[in-house]
Amino acid sequence: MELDPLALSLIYQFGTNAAFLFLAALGLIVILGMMNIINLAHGELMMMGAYVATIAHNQAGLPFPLAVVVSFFSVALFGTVLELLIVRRFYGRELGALVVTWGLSLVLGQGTFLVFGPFMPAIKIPGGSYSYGSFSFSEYWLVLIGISIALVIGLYWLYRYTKYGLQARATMQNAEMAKALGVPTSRVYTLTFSLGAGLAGLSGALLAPTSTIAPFMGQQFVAPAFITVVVGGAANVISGAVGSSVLLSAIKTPIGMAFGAFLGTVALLVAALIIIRIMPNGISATIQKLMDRRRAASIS
Amino acid sequence: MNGKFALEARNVSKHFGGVIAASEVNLQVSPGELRCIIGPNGAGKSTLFALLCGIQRAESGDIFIHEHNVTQMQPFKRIRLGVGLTFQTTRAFQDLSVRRNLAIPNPNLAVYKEGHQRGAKRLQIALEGFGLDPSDDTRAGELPHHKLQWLAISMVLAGYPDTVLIDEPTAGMSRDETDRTTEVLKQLNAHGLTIVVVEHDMHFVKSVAEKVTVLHQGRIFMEGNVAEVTANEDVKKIYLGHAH
Repeated sequence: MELDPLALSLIYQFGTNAAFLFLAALGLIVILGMMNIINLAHGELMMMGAYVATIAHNQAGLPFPLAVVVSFFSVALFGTVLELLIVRRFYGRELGALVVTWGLSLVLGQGTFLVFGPFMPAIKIPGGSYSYGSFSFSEYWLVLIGISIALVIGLYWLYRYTKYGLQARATMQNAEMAKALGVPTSRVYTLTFSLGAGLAGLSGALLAPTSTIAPFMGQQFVAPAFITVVVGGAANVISGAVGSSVLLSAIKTPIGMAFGAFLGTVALLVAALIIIRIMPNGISATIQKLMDRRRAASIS
Repeated sequence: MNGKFALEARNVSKHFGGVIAASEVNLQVSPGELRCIIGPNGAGKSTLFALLCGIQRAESGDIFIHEHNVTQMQPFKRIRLGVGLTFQTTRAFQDLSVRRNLAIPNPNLAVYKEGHQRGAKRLQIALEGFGLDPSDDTRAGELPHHKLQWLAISMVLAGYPDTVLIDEPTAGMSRDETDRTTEVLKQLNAHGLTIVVVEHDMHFVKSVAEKVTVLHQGRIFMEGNVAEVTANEDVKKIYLGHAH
């Protein structure tokens, strides 16, 4: 059986759109979704990841996969310092956190501009491309789709089956009770913020070959990231972000292919508005409610 | 665990703005004791618990757990010295299953050099007494109120403490549920667990306590056995007379 090239292209575009949304939201899933910190420096953390990867690969000559790993750890370390010096003073003060992370985003963007100038030579997209019919498919984007799936599984495992994951979920739900059970909550907060920052850096590094490397490149990721996390909801941030990436991509992709990328993005924004109106607590809360109802019905 | 007192507060004070939550509080709880703390609303009972566990920091005075000065110690380190706390409002993690709630304090197990068996036995007593299944995957949020309270107590016991501070364990419970709670706490105490309970229900206090401490306006107003305290005219005036 031969697949219609248009259908294959539609599936490919759907996969790349969903992977882009998920990767853009990756660090924010942890920092906003779990810690409830409106991190307006999310884009700049991604930008830092892209810069570290670019310097490590283009200037230090590291293989690209290793440069991505270096980005993760570098930005995670930066996140640790940030949490210890600044962010921890703003837990439970959402507006304070919003202002301080916004200030931080300005400092990071302008600082990068002063140090590295308006742009940096980009990383060449690794891998080649396949042609099928009149469509071509980037090998690198196929790898990114695979990495996104692996990251979903990895994050799910981390928060579901590890000691840190259980302590982090407990701390984020009720820090006082977690303390009373002997959980070192300050350490959990630091680790969680560092992980979120590191994941933002990792995403920035992974998306670096697909973007222009510039001090304000992070801004293109901020809106999709926030939309993905908010539409996904906080009941289960990982499944929420996956559901949200898939659903929004399923709306954006066909409209984008039929009417152009601009209208595809408009469709995504309208869809996000409608979803938030219908499901104010996000997709994951709705799924949770449906599952609870089904369980209650099966018991009775 | 060694030490003359399982838990001790020496001249501990804490203010919230102009409100005195604890003023020069001196409290000594001996190992194996079952102590009740009573007092009118706002007397500082819950604050005292929070100070003892480090959830709140004392402004002055010292706190000792088995004669270790823990005044500057973070809560998780105090918990590792063998003290557990449950709160006035039920604070089991509603989005986590019963099994996972009970697993949260378990990473601390390795810290206890001794008493594993006693701790495990006490946990077993609580789980059986309260009818909780440690392998239950039901979300805690789906449990009825009294079971959530019992789960919160069992979660603390899962860390194998030798002393527990329990804030209003029977709040909102029926008489049968209160009696079951009383029975389990007595059994736990008989197995060597030091228990300090804040409770308003005098029926509960009379049925469990050996010694009662009365708090009033952040100060220790009186200490004595149940008969002495309930017979005291001043205590009746500030607390019992109003409440009962």
